[in-house]
Amino acid sequence: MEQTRYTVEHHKVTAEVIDNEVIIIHLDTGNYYTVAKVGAYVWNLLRQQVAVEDLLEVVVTAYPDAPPETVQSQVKQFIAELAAEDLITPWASHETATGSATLPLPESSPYETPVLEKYTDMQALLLIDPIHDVDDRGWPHLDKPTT
Amino acid sequence: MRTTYEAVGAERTDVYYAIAGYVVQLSFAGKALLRLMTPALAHRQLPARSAPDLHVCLWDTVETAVPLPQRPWEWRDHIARSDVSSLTSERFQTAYNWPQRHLDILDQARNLAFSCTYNAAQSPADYAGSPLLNILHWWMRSRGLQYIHAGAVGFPDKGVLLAGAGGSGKSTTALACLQSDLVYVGDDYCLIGSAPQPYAHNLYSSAKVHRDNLHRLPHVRSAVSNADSPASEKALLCLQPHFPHKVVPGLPIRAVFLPRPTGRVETRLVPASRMEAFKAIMVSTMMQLAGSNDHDVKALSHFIRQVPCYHLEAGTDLDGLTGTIRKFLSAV
Repeated sequence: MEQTRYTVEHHKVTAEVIDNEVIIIHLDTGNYYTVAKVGAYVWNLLRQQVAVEDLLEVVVTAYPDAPPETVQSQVKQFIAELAAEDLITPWASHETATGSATLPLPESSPYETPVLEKYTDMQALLLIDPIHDVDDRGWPHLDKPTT
Repeated sequence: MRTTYEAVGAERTDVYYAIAGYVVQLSFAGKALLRLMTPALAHRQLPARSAPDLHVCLWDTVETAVPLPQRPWEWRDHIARSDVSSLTSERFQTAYNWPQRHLDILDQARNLAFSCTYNAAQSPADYAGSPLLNILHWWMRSRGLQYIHAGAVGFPDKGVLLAGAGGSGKSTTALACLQSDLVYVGDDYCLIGSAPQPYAHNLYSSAKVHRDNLHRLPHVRSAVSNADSPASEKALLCLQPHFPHKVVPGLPIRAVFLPRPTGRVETRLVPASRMEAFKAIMVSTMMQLAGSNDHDVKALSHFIRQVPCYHLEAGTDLDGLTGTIRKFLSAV
């Protein structure tokens, strides 16, 4: 049975782990995100192309005190958010998965709903900047004052 | 470029600088851009060299009467941060700042760059205070040095990075230190490297501060170089002539400080998370530097992981502010 996997397209999404918190930057939109705790654990599993079905099992096992149905539902929702923000993309079936069956367990901590914090303050700088009022060489008019 | 200089009758001036251990040659056509850009770099000037590491050719279109050629890209390739995507690759980087009408192009393979501005006489203090911002960002990045929006001060053998968005107090903090035995690497921009240890390299001997803050820094008043500029424009300070031994080539970095004014008299240091420091530097740097990409992100994160971070809750007593920095550095 084909399993669902995702990949991170590194030409447009970059991520760094700093003190157990992950910051993810979408280089095309300028949006950036932070995830911590359970979210960071799920992100690390996803970027290793672990199949979602296996990932859910792993996370449920890692947090035995949380109701399995709640964990699965919330982790699926979190994955859907990552995909909606274009931070992960479905992995093409012809590619070889690199995800390992042996995965590190998260640090000992209680289960919390995975949260994707989004920041948009860089967004405006990466928008296309069309300039319509140009001279015959294609540059902004020279008689217009600069700002 | 030699053909262009001779053909238009523009006087060519070559000036050489040592920046982070590299020799950078600037070839100016005419005088206007030379007068504008060289003061911030004067402290790094070298005698003439035969083989620079980077060669930048500069001109302005008004003085030389040499206009830009037909624009070679579509406006859909241009973003608000100035990047021109269709002329950006591993080898070439291009940025056009249209409000300032300033074009930068770098050819990494030839270590050759071109920088053209419409009219040097109309360039704002930002441009004079931090010349070659894009070109140095791109070229130094390929050599493992990261251009960032941050300042640095310290003792001659160790220092702290000052990071935060505009208005957070980096410049005031850095300039206040000039009145103490602390030395100065920068107030707004520097180059950082992580090998063999976290290090901040000086770029400019300039600083910029809001004019309504100058009354708190009387010791730098004589260094203001744009007193006749509009009040809305920041005061541009040329530090080297007035503080010749204070601007140093660089410092090993022991911590990142995130200044924030509190309105209280006393200054406090409060631990900050590395993620807070990373976001503070990353956001303001990526917003200002055309062509920022994952290399910048990875270089910054690598640097941040090596040093502790603190909020510098800056008090109004500037002696106390510098004393807090001195006390921290004395203990590390």
